[in-house]
Amino acid sequence: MHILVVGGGMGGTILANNLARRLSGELEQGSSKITMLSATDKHMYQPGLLYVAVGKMSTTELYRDQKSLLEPSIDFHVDPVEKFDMDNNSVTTKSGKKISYDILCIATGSRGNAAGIPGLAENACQFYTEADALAMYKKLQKFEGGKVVVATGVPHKCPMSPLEITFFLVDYFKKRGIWDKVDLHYTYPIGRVHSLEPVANWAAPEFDKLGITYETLFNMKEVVPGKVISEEDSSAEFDLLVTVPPHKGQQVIEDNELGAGGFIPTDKKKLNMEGRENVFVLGDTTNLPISKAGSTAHFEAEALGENIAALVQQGEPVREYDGKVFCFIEAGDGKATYAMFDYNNPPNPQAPTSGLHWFKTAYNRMYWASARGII
Amino acid sequence: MSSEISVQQQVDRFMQGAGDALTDDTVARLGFMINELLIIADRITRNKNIMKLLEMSESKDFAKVLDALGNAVESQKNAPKSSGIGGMLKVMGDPNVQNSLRLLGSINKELNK
Repeated sequence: MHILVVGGGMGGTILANNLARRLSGELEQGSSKITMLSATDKHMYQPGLLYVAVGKMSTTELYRDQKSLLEPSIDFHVDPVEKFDMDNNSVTTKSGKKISYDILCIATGSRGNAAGIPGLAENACQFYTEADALAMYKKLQKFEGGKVVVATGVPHKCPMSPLEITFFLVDYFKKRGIWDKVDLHYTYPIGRVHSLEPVANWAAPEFDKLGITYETLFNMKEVVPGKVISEEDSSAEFDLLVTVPPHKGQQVIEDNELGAGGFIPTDKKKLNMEGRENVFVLGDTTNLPISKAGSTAHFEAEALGENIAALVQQGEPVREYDGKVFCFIEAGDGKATYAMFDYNNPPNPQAPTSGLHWFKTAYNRMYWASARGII
Repeated sequence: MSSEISVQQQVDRFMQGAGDALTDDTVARLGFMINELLIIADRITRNKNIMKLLEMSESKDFAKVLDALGNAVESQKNAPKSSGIGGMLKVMGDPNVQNSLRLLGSINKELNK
């Protein structure tokens, strides 16, 4: 049985390691094989970019060699897929190799699409790539006060990042002693300050306490120097614009017409691609209406690992993904809280504590054990 | 007011003290160390060869081998130097040396299987 994992990000790596552990006997005997194809030999801890943008982490802490995170039994190649031929159970890679599979797992992730909104990329700071996060930090360092606007596009990666960057900006300006010269304004696309109602109910009073103003039903239409204009015909003037840009799936998914916007239609419980029993999708690549977060990919990978191993060993899956997501929320001032939810249970964030902030701070360095499938 | 403080108050004070003493940097370093320890422990416990070595290390024979190695290194320091064909023939005539060569031959045979 040949299992092919396409994508070496958080979801693909945790899944491949999970499978390698569960199928160690089959891999040793040679009756099963796991191959991973990735676009790069480096693995990035993407949630760390938020911290880089405000000078709380260095970029060197974000990377490890992909090979060092994988079980030795996984056949790893830096050779991204360019063509999917699902009717014949094969893919073609950039180097021209044709690779057949019995089970295909697609975890290619998503990417920021600031270019989708005219003027956004040119006029706003963002933090979804190393270069952007560093550029944002440099811009913040030069900022001496004025109106700062946070604007969010949909869909976007990491559901808590609009709130977290807002709270971190307060910390950053306070630390530099210029908070009294800053007017911080938060905008959000729907009728409350966060997509999850309990999180919005927690966050709005926190904004009030800090003197952060906010405006809801604000969908970015266009950005011109000094002004962001919404689809709703309102606008916000700024001296510094920080954006969580809209995201879309990877180009290869769009090119192969596997799903609109690069997101593949996926069964919410079995995680197989709709209409394909031997193709599974996880992480940001799915079109599921749940958070595009690292923890989503993590919990999906665990459910999928158990199921694919059961398919190989017993011919039947054994569990369903319940929609579990766990997101830390950095609340500034050395405190954090979290939101945990699934398909049936909404989140219920509590008052932030120092302990949860330390937990998140420690987890930022313990992620690599998570990627290896240990925690 | 009693000067005694309850266990709960002691725990609270301890947590407060620990909290005040910690910095993000300290927590990050601890997190990094725990991460590395977990990965090392994972590599060791999932590596059959290392587990075999650990199992062997608990046997009396292994202790004997280590002792023998230590003693041999020590005795070598004071051993008279012998050279030339005569010296070599003398060494080859030693039954212990012959046993050692037979052992090395067996290992070589196993490796070539």
